[in-house]
Amino acid sequence: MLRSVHRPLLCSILVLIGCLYTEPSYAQTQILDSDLHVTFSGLVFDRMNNTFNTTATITNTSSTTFSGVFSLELPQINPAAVQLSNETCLVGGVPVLVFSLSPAGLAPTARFSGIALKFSNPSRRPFTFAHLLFAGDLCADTVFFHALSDSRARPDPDVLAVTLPVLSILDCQPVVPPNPLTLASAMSSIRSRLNQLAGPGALEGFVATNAGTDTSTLTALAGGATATNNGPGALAALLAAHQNSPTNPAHLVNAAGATAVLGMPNEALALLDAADAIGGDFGTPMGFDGHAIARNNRGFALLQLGQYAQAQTQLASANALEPFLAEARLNAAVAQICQGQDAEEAFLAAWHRSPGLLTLDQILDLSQGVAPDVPPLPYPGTADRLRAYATTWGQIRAGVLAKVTAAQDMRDEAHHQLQEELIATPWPMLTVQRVADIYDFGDALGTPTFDQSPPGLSDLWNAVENGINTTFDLSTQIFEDFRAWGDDRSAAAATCLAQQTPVDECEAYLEVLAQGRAQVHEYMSPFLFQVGTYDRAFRAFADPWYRALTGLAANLSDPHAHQERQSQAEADFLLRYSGLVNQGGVIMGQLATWWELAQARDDLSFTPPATLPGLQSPNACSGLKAVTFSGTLFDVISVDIECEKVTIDIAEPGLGPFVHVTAARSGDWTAFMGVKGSLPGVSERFGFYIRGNDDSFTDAGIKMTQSIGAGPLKINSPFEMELGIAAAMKCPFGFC
Amino acid sequence: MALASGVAHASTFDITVDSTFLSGNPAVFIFDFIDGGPPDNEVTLSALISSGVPASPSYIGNLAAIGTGQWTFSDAGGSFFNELQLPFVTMGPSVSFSFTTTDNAPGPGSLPDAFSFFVVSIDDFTTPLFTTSDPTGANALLLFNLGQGASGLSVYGHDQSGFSIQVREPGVPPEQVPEPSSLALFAFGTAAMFARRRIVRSRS
Repeated sequence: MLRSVHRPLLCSILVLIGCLYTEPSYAQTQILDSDLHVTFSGLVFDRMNNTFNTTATITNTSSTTFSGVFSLELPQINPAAVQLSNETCLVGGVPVLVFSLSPAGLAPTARFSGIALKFSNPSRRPFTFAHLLFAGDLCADTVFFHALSDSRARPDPDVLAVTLPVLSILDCQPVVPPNPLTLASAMSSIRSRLNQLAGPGALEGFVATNAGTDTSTLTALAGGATATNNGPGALAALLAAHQNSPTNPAHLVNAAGATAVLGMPNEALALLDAADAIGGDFGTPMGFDGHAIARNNRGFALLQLGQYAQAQTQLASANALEPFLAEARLNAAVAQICQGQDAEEAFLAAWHRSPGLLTLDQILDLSQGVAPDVPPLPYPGTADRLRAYATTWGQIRAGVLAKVTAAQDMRDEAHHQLQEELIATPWPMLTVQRVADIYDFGDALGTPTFDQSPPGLSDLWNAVENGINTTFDLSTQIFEDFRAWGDDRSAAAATCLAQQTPVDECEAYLEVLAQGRAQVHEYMSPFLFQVGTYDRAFRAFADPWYRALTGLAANLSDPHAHQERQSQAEADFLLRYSGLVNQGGVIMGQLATWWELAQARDDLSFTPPATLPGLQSPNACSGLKAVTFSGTLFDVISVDIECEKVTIDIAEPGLGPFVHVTAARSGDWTAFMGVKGSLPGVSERFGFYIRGNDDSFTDAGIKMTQSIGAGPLKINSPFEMELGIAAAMKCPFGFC
Repeated sequence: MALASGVAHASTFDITVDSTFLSGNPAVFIFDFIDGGPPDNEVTLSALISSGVPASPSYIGNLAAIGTGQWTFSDAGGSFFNELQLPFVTMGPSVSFSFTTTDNAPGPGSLPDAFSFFVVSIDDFTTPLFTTSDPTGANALLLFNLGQGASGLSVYGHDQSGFSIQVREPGVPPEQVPEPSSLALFAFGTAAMFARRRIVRSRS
């Protein structure tokens, strides 16, 4: 064992939502080697799979009987080129093998063997690996993290050329010099501002009223108020939380974010200084590093004070700590712009929540995609059946094209209904943006082009294109040979007629016919091989392609939008399939005509049935855990993220005098919300965030695990609410 | 089913293979010695005694021919994969051989060095002719984990009658993997072998 790892007891969340522990004493905890000792056999070469295999044997060296599901994790394999090839899943890139002990359990001193580990080791080099054994199924807890902003197309150079100057005008205004404040004077200033907005004594009254309110409820209120255009209410709730838990620096960090976007950067810096003085745990709301959020908020406040170089240092530090904090990346880009530096790269890096370039299956949840049902195409075994099969392929092609037309009609109808819906009830900008992103991805994938496609599709499509080209070449060659043969046949017929010999008795003519039949026979093999290869390549491509197309459409919750994209997916698929059927049918038709002109008889005794593809449609935004969340937190906010639609409501009475107070904010805000369980790690596995400005939401995202149950979640004590409020400079056009 | 020979501290084993099932047909005997990490070990394989018709052997890795038909495998110098391939144009009804190993136990972080035995198709030198109870799924017929004495030896059961492996440690009564019943023997003939081989290939 190379390291000790704490694993979350995820079921402790699930207890709240009705899940029972299946292994109460050791669910998903690391098992000590002193309890269950793992040994491995020597390596055996599996020449069929080209892997080097070993078996693990587990000996119960404790006095307890173990049973249930276990996970064997391999956190390190050296060299890295050697990989476990039969893992059950990857958790954070680490292979995990899940297995069950026998139902009777593993009694003390008993052994359980036969857990095969298969290593791919192409270069056949010596290797070593480290292992950790966990009770429970680590793979059932695969973590999803999806951010809506990750699907946005990056701006092209022309757009950038306009955007960056606008960003400079928006965010690089002349400012008053910094005015360092003590915590007391900062608090006094904030109190004055809030009381100015909500009425004299409002803050003091609110704080006094909530002296007994638990901090989770107050931070949930703050998160909800932030996202419902009530910045002052959020700040008041955070100050009440700070009063009730003065040693928790996270409340001051969040209050600093809320204060800064309300245009009080000096006060924000004083709050952050106070948080630093407290030190300790800054929290990790939905896994985001609390210290990174603090440095981002400091950077934002410094930007507002024109301290661009200092801000840049803080923001670089925030980015190093938390690569998913897009707010810090945007703020860093603004710091560069305001100092006259080239910020194009930094600005583009801030476009998406997730760092790096993601593929489509990482950006969206494609798990609900369905496979097409494409019946096998019938192939003629002999030349005299070419006509019958060509006829059948023609019928299939006509049927497929009719389906294409039907799918396009359905798409157009759905589009019409969607337009009417939008006229009646316009969507929020975030929804419009997300739907447009999905449409763009669908159009590109359906074309098909594969800039950001799921891995492997591009290679599969190359094989299809190769099939298209080779069968086209074959068709051309057959046509040329057939035409040449036709010339020979005409010449032979002319010769026979000149000799006044009937052609069906004329040797020269009959020889040409025999030659034609021989040529058709010779073309049967290349036809079967090349069209068959094209057919197989298409099927290999069609399955993941159609899954991706339909999985993509399933990311839309709006029924009309979903129908439009689903129908488009069907049309795209069927059109490509008709290309295959058409090509094969054309070649068979050519050869059949040749065969007939060579006076061979048709055999129409068997005509294969024309069976058309059947296409299924997954439900709209159904079963997509990665992009859906519905629940209430501490009975004060309810959140519903349904694919592209995001709503958040707050229990208004909780905000007291601040319930209807609004104030223009000088920057964008993001509220990261998660829960902190009684055991380490839970906060890194569940949460959501909403980002926006005073006009609209601009981004949202979810971090979930597979084993969090379906249906609305209700999170309450004993869990603690974790909140991170991050401030960011304003974006041109609302989105970045 | 894996059968340990049940005898301690032995590093020499005499193997007798009843290959009636394969008699008259081609096959390849494969011996692999795979390095699990330090310390080094060595395996010496005796000449194979058979009435079958052997073809030229070939090998990969750190092997040396000693005398007539005898081979030494070594993982010295980090030689990871060491394999001897002994083809038979036609197999006889039996084959016997012995192997002797050093018996150095694996060091910290190492797996045991392992000596394994397979019978595969001569068509591709890859497809095992038997589906065995080898828990790794590689269809080995025999595996010896070095450094564990005689308890390191496992002989795996398989699904074919007319083929069995008998292991004997010098001075110890032999133990044999039981064959299927005579009824099963009747039911599965040579034709079945080829049918199964085709299935294996088509699955692959």
